[in-house]
Amino acid sequence: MRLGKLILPLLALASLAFGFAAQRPKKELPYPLRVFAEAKAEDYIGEQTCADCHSELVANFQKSGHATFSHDPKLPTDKKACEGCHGPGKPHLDENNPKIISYKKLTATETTAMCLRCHNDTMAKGHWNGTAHQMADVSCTSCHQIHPDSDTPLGGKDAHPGDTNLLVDSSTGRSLVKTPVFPTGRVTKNLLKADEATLCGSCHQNQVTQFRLNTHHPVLEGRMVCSDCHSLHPSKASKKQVSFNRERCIACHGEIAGPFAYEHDPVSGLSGDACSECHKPHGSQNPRLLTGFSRGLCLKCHTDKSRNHHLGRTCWSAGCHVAMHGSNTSPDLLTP
Amino acid sequence: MRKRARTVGFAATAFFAAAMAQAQETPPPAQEESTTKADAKQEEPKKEESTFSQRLFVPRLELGHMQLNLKGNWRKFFHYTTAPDGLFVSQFRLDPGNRGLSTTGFLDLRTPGEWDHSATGAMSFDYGRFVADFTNQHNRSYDPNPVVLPQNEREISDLSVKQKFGQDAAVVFRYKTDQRDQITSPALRDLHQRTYLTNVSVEGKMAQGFGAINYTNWRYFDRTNVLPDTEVRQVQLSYLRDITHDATLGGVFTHAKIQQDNAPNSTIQTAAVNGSWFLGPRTQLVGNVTEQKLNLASVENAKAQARHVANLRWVQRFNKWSTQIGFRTLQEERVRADASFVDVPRWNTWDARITGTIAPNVRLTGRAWSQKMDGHVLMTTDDSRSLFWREQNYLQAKAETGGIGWNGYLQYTGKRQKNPSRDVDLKNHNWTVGGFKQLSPGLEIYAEHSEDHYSVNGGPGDATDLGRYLPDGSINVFGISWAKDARTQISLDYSQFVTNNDNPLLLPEGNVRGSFLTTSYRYRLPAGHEVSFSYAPWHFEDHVDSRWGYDAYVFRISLSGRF
Repeated sequence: MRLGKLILPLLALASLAFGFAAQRPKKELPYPLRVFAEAKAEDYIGEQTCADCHSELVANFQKSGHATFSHDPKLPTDKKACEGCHGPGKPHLDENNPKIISYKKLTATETTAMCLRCHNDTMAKGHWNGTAHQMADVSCTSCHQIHPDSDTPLGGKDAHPGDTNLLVDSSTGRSLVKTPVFPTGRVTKNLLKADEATLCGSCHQNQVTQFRLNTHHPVLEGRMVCSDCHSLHPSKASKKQVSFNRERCIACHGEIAGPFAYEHDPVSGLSGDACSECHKPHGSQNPRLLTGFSRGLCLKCHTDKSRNHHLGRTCWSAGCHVAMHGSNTSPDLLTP
Repeated sequence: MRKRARTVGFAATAFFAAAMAQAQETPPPAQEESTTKADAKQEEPKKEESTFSQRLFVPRLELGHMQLNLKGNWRKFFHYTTAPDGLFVSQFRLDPGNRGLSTTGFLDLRTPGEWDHSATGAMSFDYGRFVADFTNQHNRSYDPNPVVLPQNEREISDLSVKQKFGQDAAVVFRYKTDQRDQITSPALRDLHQRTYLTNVSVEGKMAQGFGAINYTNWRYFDRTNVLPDTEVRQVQLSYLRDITHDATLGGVFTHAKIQQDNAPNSTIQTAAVNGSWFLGPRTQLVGNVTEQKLNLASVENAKAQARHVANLRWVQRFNKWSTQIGFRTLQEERVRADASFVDVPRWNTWDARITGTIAPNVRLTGRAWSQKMDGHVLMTTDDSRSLFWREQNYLQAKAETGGIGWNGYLQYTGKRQKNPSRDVDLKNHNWTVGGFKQLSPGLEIYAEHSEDHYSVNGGPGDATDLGRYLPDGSINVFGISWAKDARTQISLDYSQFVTNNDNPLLLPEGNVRGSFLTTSYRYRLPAGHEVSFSYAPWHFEDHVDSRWGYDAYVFRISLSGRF
């Protein structure tokens, strides 16, 4: 059955589901959203009261990127400062049974729901749901640090958000980026716990290790970061990469975008694995991030050329098939 | 065009610097008075605070002196970026002392005045309702060929501005320029190109959902006049809505028009419906259907006129385990070069994932997918046997263990690609083992070893020689990170890679070895200033052609301070 014929039935099914679901009784809000829903106005005590006991935390929070937004006087009380994330402070003052929302005890889903209370202007819950990280129970605080770490080795009361390297020092010191040799590195932004290569590499070790190979995308040199290629927050419109027919590679490699009169199908992106047919995106022991060396790259598919086709020569560096990404003049990709 | 980007870069830098200066004129707002009972409590004197929190902005300056001591193929050392040699300004940064103001931002200049330099800045006004951020990056690099070739230059500027309307809507504008001049080895074409991206988005809450309209204009110019100038205009409409507390449904429609000089226009239309449904607290269903219509009028050989993609995934969480099963199907309508027929190949992919804890502190993760191609595609090459992989399989298994202060992992990744019509059965195996251990508070060691192997199986056919061109390789990593006390940090990172390559054509870059040791010592002085020393002996050897190798003994001293 052609998949095109499935669209209408699927849409109909979705509409039915929508209509059915709209009639279902409202479900109780999960904790901790329920805490905010049930709080009264007098339960919010203000940041200064929090500082009476948690002065260092509150002082450090003033250095974080959140401080600006959470002190907006136009914000509703339940989204301001400490109580905007940790819930109303009055129940916490109860000496017998102090209650506060602690992010160490929340699940990934609960943590995400809390962050999206404020960050739902650019990312609805639905954008996050269904992503690989969401399905792997990764939450916002897995990567983002809200309180500048005040117990770093070189931190303390003089810790400053400009000292991004402090975050790395506080975790492992295993920064992959070779800033001692290549100091023109990318600035770590968005309250990340470490530079992106180190942060992502804490789970994706294999991929990040490949950056250490002979040829690689220049992440270790500080020229690129993981989010240049990988979209973590799908709805962040301002950083959308262009990819109209091939992979996101064309965002930086416009010369392969085409379309070409003579495409190198299946690497054109429509039938095969596009750029990944020939290139390893993170790093490779071969030149130019290739999956094979010299003739071997092409011989994986064009096996008929292994015995009787210009033996002893390479395919493109010998000057023959130089338009391997596509040609507007030659069906055999001999000239651009 | 380079001038334009540089002018934009410096203008934006000047703007941010002026805005930061302006911001320091703005007095901090009066402290908001809370009306709750708790505010009746007298405020006790605040505990000791940071010296910088009372200032509106804090500049930081880092100066460095570096000696590269390079011998051999310095072009390989500068393959991706150029390091400073001699005295240089490593960083100049402006940060707000107090981020609780309505206006805030930062400016970060890296190695200004050097061949490689960058400027990053952001400004936020009215408590984040208007945000502008900017990046300018210039890099000089070299093709690693020891033959004398001119340098490569690349400059990327990216400006993004966002205006929020209340809590529910925003307009975002983005402009990016990319200037690239790359001189490659003989035979390959030099690149002298300019790319401009303009993106405007309007997004926000709409009818209880979230909608967005996105317009993208992408222009490509080849200054060598070999490739045609290309312009892509793309409009995207998207809408997403929670139809219940547990279910989300969304749709995306994209229309892209591609214009090229001296070529007919092409269009690509994409429509997708996607959804996510939590059937229960531990069960999730995720699905997507995408239809794509392609009118690539400029393409003369085989091309796709339509693509149909559907995928469905079931996520099930148990007590300490999580499993996923997914199915994806891609069907393509492929027009033959002579336009005589439309082939319809289909690729079906099953994938599964499992993650869980088998014992206290022992976690297993497994991923696997299997793809099969159905249908026939007629090749128009001299050899009409199919060029497509008929079957691909992938497996990744990882075991992790650890506790407070230590972690270990063992991972296997295997991929298999088969093309029976050409008797090719290609396998890749990768083993990675590693971990870290905290020997004492502040002292940590880490290590990793990774090996990559290729093998080719097949009958006495053309693929017999293929294995000689697929090199094995290995990587070794070792490091120490020591925070000796609150002011002192010492680190050491060593990585080494080796390529084992038959290299029957005896080509350079086929049998190489690299070893890179990077050591650093950093000390923070009482006033918050820092001094650091780095020593990095790096070596790269090419066993076929020694002219491609280099030795570098990098020594660097840096002083930084906040004022």
